[in-house]
Amino acid sequence: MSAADWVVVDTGLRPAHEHMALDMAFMAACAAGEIANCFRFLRFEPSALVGFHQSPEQELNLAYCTEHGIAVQRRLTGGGAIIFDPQQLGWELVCRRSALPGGDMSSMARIICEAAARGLGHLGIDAQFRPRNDIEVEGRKISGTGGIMDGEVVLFQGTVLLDLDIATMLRVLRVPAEKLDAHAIASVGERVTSLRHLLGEAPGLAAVEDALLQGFTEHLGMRFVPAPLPQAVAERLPAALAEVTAPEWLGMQGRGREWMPQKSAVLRVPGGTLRAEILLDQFGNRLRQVHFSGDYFVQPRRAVVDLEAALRNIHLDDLRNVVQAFFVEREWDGFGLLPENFADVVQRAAEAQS
Amino acid sequence: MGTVRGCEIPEDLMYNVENNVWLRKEDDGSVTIGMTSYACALAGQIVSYTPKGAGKDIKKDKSAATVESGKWVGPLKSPVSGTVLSSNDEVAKNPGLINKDPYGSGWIAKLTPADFAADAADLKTGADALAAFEEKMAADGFGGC
Repeated sequence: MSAADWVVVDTGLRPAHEHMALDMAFMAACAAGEIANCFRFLRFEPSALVGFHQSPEQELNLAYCTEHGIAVQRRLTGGGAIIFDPQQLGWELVCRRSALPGGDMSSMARIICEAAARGLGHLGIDAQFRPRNDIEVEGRKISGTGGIMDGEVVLFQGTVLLDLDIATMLRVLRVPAEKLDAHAIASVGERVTSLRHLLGEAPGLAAVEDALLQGFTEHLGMRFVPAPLPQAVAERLPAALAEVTAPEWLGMQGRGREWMPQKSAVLRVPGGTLRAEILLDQFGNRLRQVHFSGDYFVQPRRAVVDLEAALRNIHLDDLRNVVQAFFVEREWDGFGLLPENFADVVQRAAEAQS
Repeated sequence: MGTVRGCEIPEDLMYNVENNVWLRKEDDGSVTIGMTSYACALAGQIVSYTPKGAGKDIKKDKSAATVESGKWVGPLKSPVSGTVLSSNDEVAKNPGLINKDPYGSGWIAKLTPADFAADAADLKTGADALAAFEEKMAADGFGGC
C-alpha cells in the first residue's frame, strides 16, 4: 500500500460502549504503528453520547435514557452531546498526523469537513462546511464533527443524519427550549436536517458510505481498500472495553446540573421582541447553548442560527466581541434590530435568576 | 525570550518538543509544566481543561491533563514521571488563561518528579529547543503564531 492508501473498516451496528472502546483501540494501535491509516464507518444502537469534557447529568435527561433503554457514553472527542440511533451513520479517520495536510487544528478540521461535504454533495444535496466543525445544507446542520489529537495520532469523527427523530432528541438532550412542544420541534427543524428530509427518502447506507469516500478521494487524494477489523485493534479491545465500562469513565466529569442552569430574558426594542434561552456553565462562566426566538425579522433568516452556533461555548466576557465580529463579517438586515440587541438579551439572560 | 515563527519559546525553560510541552524546575525540587505558545496557536481558543488529580502518579509522556478547543481534545503529556502536586484552579474556571499566558498563570500542572535527572536528559532547552521547534513547525506545515 502507498501512503495514499487507507483501509476502510465497517464496524457496523454496535452498542455505544463498544464503539468508544474501538476508538481507543484504534488510536493505541495507530500510535504503536501497527495499523495503516483507517477510515471507519460505525452505527449505534440507541445511545446518547456526551463530549469528552461534558457532564452527563448536565447535558442529558438521564432518567429518560434509563427508562427507554438509551445507553449513555462518553466520547473521546470534544463538542456537545448528541443522540445516535441506527438512522445515523458515523464516520471517522484514524491516522498519523502526517497523513493529513499540515496547518493548525482548525484548518485540519476544515479540510476534513470539506471533504465530507463534497462527498455528501454526490447524494444530490448542497452540503457545505460551517465553522467551526459542522456540515450544513442551506443553514441546517446535517453532520457534526469532533476530533482528538494525541501526539502524532489523529482521530477525527463525524455523523451523517440519514434520518432524525427530533422529538426523542429533545427528550434526551438538555436543550434551551421553553417547553418541548410542536413549536420546539419546528424550531429544531430549522436548525437540523437529514438526508430523508432533503431527498424525500433516506438513501441506502452503502450509497452514503460510497459518497463520503468519493469526497475524501476527490478532496484529499485518499485511496481506499476495504479491510476487516485489524488484528492489532482487536487485541487491544478487551482492555479498552474495561476502561469505558468502568464507572470512572462516565463519571470523569460529574458536575451537577445546578452548575448549568437554563436561563432566559426578553428584550423589547424597535426592531421587535427578542427572547434568548441559554444554558450557562456557571463554573466557567461560559455560554453552552443559546437559542433565540421572539417576534422579529432578520434577513437572511439563517443569520440567527449561525449566530447561535458562533456563541456556543464562548466565555461570557467574549460575548460582545463575538457578536460584533459576527455581524461585521456578513451582510444582513435586522429591520431595526441591532447587533447589540442580541448581546444585550443574552447578557440579561445570563444575569437573570434561573 | 526566544521566538520561533512568531511563537514565544522562553530559552530558560525545558521542552519536550514532540509533545509541545514546557517544564520549569522550581527551587523546591518540584516541576511546573504547561503548553507552549506554539501548542496554543495550533489548538486555538481552549475551552475545557481536565487535570489529573493531586496525588496521581503519572508516567513520563502520559497525560497530565486534557484540554479542548473547537471540539478537538488533546492530552498534555508530562515530560517527566512524577506525582501530581496540584492542578490550576484558575485555569479550570477560565481555560482561556492557557492561551493568554501559557508560561505564567496558564500553567497546567505541578508535579514532584520521580527521577528528574534521568527524565530531563531527553528535554531540550535554549538554542537547541529553538532549532527543534523550527524543525517541528516545518514538519507540521505551520505558518506562524
